[in-house]
Amino acid sequence: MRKIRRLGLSLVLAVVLLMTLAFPVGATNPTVSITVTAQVVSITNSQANWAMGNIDVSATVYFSANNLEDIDYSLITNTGSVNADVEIQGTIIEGGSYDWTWDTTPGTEKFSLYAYNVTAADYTIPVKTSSFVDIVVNLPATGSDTYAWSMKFLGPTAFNVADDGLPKSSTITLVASKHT
Amino acid sequence: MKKTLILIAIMLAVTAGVYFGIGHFRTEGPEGLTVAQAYHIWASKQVAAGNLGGFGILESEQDLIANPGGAKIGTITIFNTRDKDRTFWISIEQANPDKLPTGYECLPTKYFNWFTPSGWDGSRVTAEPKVVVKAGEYRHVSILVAIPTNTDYLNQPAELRVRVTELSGGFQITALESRWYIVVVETPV
Repeated sequence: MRKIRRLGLSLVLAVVLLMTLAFPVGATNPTVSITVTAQVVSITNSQANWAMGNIDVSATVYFSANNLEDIDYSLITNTGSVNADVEIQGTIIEGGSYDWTWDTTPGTEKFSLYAYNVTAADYTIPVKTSSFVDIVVNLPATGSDTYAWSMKFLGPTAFNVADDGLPKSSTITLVASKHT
Repeated sequence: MKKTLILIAIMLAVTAGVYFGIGHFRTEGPEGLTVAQAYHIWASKQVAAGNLGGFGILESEQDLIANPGGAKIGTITIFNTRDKDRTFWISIEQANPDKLPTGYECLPTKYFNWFTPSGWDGSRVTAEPKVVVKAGEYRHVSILVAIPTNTDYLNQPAELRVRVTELSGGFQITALESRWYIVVVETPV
């Protein structure tokens, strides 16, 4: 008799649990549904360092091994599975007693930095410190199609006389996302 | 009685497994592959391209349909190649207003607190959205998506970005973004 009762209890529980599966409580409660597009976004960039050394007032320096112009110096490779847009942004140049800020044209304690634009065949892509700007759009996901780029730095037209001359540094961020 | 309790426990465990497996968020690789399979394909591609350095994220886009008061954990999967361990920072960023799908807008920044990225220290989720991925491994990052009950931001499709930034890059830093699309609707989803 006890065995039959146990079996009966188990069957009732099984039916209740199966009904839970068929009519999930979550379907009527507030929820968030997430659908993933599982494709890989990935890029690499071949050159990660830039040592300018000491620079003079109004110096022009290029992103290359010897600070001279080389428009194909660094290579961005799309190693993901989707075509990608790559954007660029810089930071202010910090260090010592005075920081340098970015501007469209250089000035006192102000520098300009532009990336090479293949279409315009000139350094016209502003590497701003306030927002990201496209450097290459719709880079194919072949893994072998690279984008060569470089940058041109225009130094401040004047340094503050009280500047202590200590080294300054900055970073450049390349950010990639799926092209749509 | 003991046997009955064991039977009930087993049934509850199976039910919970099926329920959460079918009805809830899962991460799969491209074309239904598992994450591990997707990683091996991606890693092979890095080798084939002669490019052993770098990292990637699996989820290029995510669609979210949400109700006020709803909550869910989304994930980003970070792949790392075999050259070195890498440290990443996870952040919520504004979408590019020039690249929005038709009918979408940038999710206003005042709603960014709906999204809470969390790191992973190998054994538990941490409050800090920083994650270390060892060479040749991949790791999931959790992002809690919680919509306030009384939100007034309804029925407007919006885009935001989840950015994964490598912190050990030196002068040149590389970051990858997943495009997240969200719409909050009152009708239960």
